Amino acid sequence: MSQETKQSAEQDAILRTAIDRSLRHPVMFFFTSGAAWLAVSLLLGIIATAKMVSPEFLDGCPLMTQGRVFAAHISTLVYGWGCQAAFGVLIWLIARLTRQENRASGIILAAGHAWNFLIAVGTFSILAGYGTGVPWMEFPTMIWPALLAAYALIAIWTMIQFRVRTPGEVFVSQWFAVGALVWFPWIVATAFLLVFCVGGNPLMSAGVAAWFRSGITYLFFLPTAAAAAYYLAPKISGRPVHSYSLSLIGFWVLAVVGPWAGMQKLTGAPIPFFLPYMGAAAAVLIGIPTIAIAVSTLRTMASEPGKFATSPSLRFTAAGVVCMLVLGISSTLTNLPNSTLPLTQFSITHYGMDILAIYGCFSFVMFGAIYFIVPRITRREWLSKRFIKMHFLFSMYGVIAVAVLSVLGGVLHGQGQEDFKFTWDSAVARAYPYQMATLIAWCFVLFSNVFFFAHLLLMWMRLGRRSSHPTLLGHAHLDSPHGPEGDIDNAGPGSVIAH
Amino acid sequence: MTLRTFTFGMIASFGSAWLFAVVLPFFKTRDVKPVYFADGIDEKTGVYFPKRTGQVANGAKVYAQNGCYVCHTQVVRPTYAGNDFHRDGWAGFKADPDRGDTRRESNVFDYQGEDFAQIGVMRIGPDLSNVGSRYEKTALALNELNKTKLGDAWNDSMKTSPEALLFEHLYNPRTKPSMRWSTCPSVRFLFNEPAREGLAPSPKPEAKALVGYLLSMKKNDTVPASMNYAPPKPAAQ
Repeated sequence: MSQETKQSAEQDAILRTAIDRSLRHPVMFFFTSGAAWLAVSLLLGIIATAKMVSPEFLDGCPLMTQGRVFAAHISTLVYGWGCQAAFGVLIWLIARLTRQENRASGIILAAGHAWNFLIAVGTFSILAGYGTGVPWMEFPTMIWPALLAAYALIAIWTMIQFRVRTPGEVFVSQWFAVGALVWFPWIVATAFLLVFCVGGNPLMSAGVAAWFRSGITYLFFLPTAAAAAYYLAPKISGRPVHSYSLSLIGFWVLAVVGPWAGMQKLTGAPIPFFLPYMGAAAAVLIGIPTIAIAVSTLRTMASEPGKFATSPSLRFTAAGVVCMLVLGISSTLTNLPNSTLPLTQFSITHYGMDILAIYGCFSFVMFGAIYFIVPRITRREWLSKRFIKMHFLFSMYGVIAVAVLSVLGGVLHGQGQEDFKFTWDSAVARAYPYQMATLIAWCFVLFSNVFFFAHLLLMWMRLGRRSSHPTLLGHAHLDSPHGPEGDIDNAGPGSVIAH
Repeated sequence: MTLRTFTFGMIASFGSAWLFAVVLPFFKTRDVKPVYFADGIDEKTGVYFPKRTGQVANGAKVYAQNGCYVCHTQVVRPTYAGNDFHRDGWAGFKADPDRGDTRRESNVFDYQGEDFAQIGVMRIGPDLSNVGSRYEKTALALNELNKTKLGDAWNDSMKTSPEALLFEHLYNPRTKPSMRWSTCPSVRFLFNEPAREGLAPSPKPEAKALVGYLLSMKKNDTVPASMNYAPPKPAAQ
């Protein structure tokens, strides 16, 4: 990594093992509990979509009201799965990239338990009818400061590691990782204070909530995915990042444009005019950083095309980056004021974009990172390549279906809404087939995650294969697809010399 | 990139948007300035003082807790941002028997009494910013219809109220044959089950608050021309 280090390969391997061992418990905890929340969220998502298609389903039960289930579905997806997967990946990435062991794994683990407890309380509160009614911030008000405190305990050590690292160049992956770690609390704290604590104009509170949703998507999930992709792509392909300047453009355009987006969801509402239009302009420009990030990571991966066939991490990461590209381009195409924005503002496109961002772009890269990280920290290899393949295929089909159907179906739904010569029920009827298909697609995704969760649980219980040959998707290969650091030295640190 | 450049860039890029798109607009819009009717342009004079009655705060809470905002919006966009204006009953009525064209888009006073404007996420159901007026009109029309149908047998105790119609909708949105297409969930847990067959279920306080809130959403007042973006009305003949 750093050219200044003069350590030998053996010492390097020992350091890596020490870093992995120091983070084993918190990172595994985040991944496994995150995967469990993902399963909960998918189940709730299936119930919510089923109720949109057939309102009589589970009718009359207060816990299972459509609005509450939908809110619980999104909240568990964002905070239960999304945030935890991101925390696991970010703390591991920064520790590896700054080449330091983490000395606070006990505190991080405890904070992780607190985080899970809070999510559980929050989710149950939403279902029991104590939600706040602020989209994406439905957890009861008192949950938010506690979540922020738990976050501080999780992230502070990583920020310290970054601060005291050996001085020198900051890697591309680190920009995005540190960016995500800084933006997340900034956005959450601002939204919490303005929406729940400081009494303001109800419309600006709604504006801040819309800004919050967009901020979490584009300034936390997207940069986390980019950080992991910028780490995994060169690592697995064994080639340097394709274009430094393209990455630089990707990062800074995202940093400059991202925070302005969000309020286009309030176009036409009585808030200051420039806010929705700035939001729309930013949402359109989001296409630029996603294209820059996607092109530079995909070209890095494509420099070793053979590895797509074998490495599960690379396959998932590449799929996630492609989704990022689709997300950026869709954001550009669906947010044009006076043309597509009125169609997509209140149509099911909204949901499609959220899923494309969280499940398509972010989660796929996280799966790639998890398939890479877990064998290293548990010192065991994945048990079954069939499980991984099932996970990939069903997730891929599912998310393509949800995203394509909801984003494109949403445009048609919006056209129906705008076409005032036709009755309202015809506009609603336009969304119906897409919701039906979304339901089926969610079932696919849930099915795929049963494999993922079971696999991860087995790895957590240290039942993985004791082998120094990674689990690959293709036939046995002579050289490791995980690059120079790919082999896991199960016979003890340093037993495998990094090539 | 050095750490110094990085930190400075992060603070400058995020901080400027945070300050100018979020914090400053938030505090600048905290107190809404009164709007005056203009002499010679508006029919009325003085300050525009909209009233909103009903259990707004309690009802808004029930609305939020049950996630109505997932499928219903509460904003009538001006014509530059969408076609909500032309949907029957959303923005007002095109041909009100007493006042003619009453349509107007949402304004900042429509959300008074609420902590959070439920602009909404998706429109699986219709917009609700004028739902109160819509239900009042429906109840009126229904009473007229029954009156003519029943003739002498009609008495005032048979009158239906907008409240009763909304309770019916909340209990089962698909009761009426014309509403069979609706995918709105029933919130029948906000009602006490009827004591015996044939009686209507009695609403719990939450249902009453929710209905009060829904009926408070009306666009039936005259707003100053300075804040009305409705397309210009054809000049009087």
